Amino acid sequence: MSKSLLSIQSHVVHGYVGGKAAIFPLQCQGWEVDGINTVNFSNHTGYGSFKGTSLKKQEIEDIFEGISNIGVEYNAIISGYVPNEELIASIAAYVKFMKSSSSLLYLLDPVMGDQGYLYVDKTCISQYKKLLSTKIVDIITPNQFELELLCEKKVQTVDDLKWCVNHIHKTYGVKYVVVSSLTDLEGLQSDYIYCATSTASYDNSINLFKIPIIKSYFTGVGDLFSALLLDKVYSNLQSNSYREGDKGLLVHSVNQVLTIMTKTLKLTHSLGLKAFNNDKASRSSSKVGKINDGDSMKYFELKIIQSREFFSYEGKGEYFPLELDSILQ
Amino acid sequence: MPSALSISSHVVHGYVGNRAMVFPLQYAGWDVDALNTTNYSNHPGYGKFKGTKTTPDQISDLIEGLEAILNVKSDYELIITGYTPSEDALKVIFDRVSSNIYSSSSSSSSSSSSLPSSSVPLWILDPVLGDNGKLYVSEGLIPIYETILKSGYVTLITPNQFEFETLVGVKIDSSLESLKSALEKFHDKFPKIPNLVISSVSIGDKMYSVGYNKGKAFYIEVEEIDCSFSGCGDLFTALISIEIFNDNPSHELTPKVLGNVLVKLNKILQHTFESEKVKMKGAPFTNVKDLSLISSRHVLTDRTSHEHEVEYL
Ligand SMILES: Nc1ncnc2c1ncn2[C@@H]1O[C@H](COP(=O)(O)OP(=O)(O)OP(=O)(O)O)[C@@H](O)[C@H]1O
Ligand SMILES: Nc1ncnc2c1ncn2[C@@H]1O[C@H](COP(=O)(O)OP(=O)(O)OP(=O)(O)O)[C@@H](O)[C@H]1O
Repeated sequence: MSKSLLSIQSHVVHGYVGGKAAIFPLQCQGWEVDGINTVNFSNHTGYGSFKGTSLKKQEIEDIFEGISNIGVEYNAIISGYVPNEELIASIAAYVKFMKSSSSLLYLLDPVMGDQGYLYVDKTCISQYKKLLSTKIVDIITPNQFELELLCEKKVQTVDDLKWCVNHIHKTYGVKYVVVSSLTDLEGLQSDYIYCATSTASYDNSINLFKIPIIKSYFTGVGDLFSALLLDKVYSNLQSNSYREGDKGLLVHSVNQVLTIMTKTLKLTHSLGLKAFNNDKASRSSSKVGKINDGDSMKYFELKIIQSREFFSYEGKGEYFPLELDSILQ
Repeated sequence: MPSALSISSHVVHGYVGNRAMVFPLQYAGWDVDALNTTNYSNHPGYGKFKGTKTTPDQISDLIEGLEAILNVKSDYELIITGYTPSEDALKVIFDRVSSNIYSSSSSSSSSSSSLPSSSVPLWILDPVLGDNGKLYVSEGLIPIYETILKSGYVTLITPNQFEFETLVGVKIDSSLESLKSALEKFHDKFPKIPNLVISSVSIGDKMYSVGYNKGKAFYIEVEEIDCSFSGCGDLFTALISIEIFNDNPSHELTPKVLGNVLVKLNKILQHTFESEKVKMKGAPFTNVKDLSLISSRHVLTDRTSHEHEVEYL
């Protein structure tokens, strides 16, 4: 059975963020992926320099019109980095239109920033809330900072987290909430990233996954994460192991995704370090700088191509879902 | 891992241009940097489409952006250029590529100057102009392509019969003699192109793919499917690129390379054809708009070599 998906996110010529991190893994999993590039950049901004342009409102609307004219249909839509509120509004309208005539799964990754730093226009926050209030989102994958922005609340305690997750379920009718990374929460150990999952109608029962931090410099991880999550949720539903809305569905899918993430990031780190050291050794006065500056960035691009065989992982997952309430006594 | 820069069109839906080239290369293990010359909703074969061309300035900027973060001479093993929608876009690509990748001026005292010149990327060029006697780009691109082909930077070109005839200024009248003399004219006009594939040529009532490597020419019969496929020329170029780096240190176009490509392409097209039959539920059709690239992806990793009946000219 063929399955088709529309991916709406950034495009970079070089490197693996946005669509470049998401599309290939999905294609490897058999998805027919259509791709709308919200921006068209030479590389991601972490390099310190980049060139390129963003899509204009008229352009994205034309594209939506174009694909509607030829009657394409999707089993799923995923949206990621969108640089301004106008584009978000157009996307909201399109997804709403598509959902009115077919059952499709919409995953919203409300990419806005990380660790207190905003990398889209500020007006995107309220536009995402508007999009959410039309109740078209099935799965949402904010990180801690993005959750705070959407809920207008600092997430410092377990109660804050519960409140926010609940708010997203209740106010916006989102069935599956995954906080892709929590790094700053009272009572949690440092050296770990926590990933929280919650399914609507299982009141206040959040599961946490505890992931050892790999000390490296990764970009595009959130984009890969959401693509893999969409694939796992969809295929676990298709295989009839779970019914829609089951709590086990999300927990199992996220566990699989985290397992793939870890494999991919470990490989990325080891291959990156190897190439970095090789080049450093062979070039005395070199463009190769310190790890984590613009010049070393290219070595630590996600090794999406080399990780191909990881994406088909179908095991039960190498992590343990913890009950939020039980670990924080 | 080998890396390629692929410059061709982008469509949101369907598989032509970069959308037909990037995935096959990636699935075969290549890191592919994709520079999109268009941003269309779908290919024109649908009868209608929306979207924009990437402007020459945007293309120039993107390449400049890459030059700032990469060593474009040594970080790529391969450059592929395909569909380019305008004269200015093609000029910009040629200017940038020739001055920053192939210029021999060792004025750059950067790290790359210590590398042997053989380490510059191969340039594989698909001179996309048209098909079946019709141009689908402006005529003004022809002389620019001619200049590029005379530069000595291009290793291999993959025109179809019409594009070959247009560039060389000959007609192949379905006989082997005329093919032979056309290839001679090609060599006279473009002596610096070491490798050529004409993706398909009809001779008699059969279809052949014609290869040419440093003066030697050969041809292999193509099993014809009674249907046309959008994007198969782009896929063909991608498969040639993969195969020319597959256990082939000299990167020459050999009969083995072409033969293996034709086997893979045939499997993908057959699969596409069968899928379309199912989709059409028995209704007749003469062309397929979207290659079934994803569902035939296993073909792309096949590294076995196939025996082929090869004829030499
Ligand atoms: N340093 C790291 N070590 C181990 N795993 C990591 C690391 N960084 C990210 N991950 C993995 O990637 C997942 C997603 O990461 P994260 O939430 O930081 O992405 P993001 O880019 O902030 O997300 P968004 O797309 O929502 O902005 C985490 O759940 C974790 O599995
Ligand atoms: N109907 C067909 N049956 C079998 N093989 C085909 C058919 N059409 C194309 N091919 C294969 O695809 C290859 C490329 O096709 P063709 O020469 O038509 O490319 P093109 O004209 O450049 O394509 P495009 O229309 O994408 O520009 C041929 O060498 C042949 O192997």
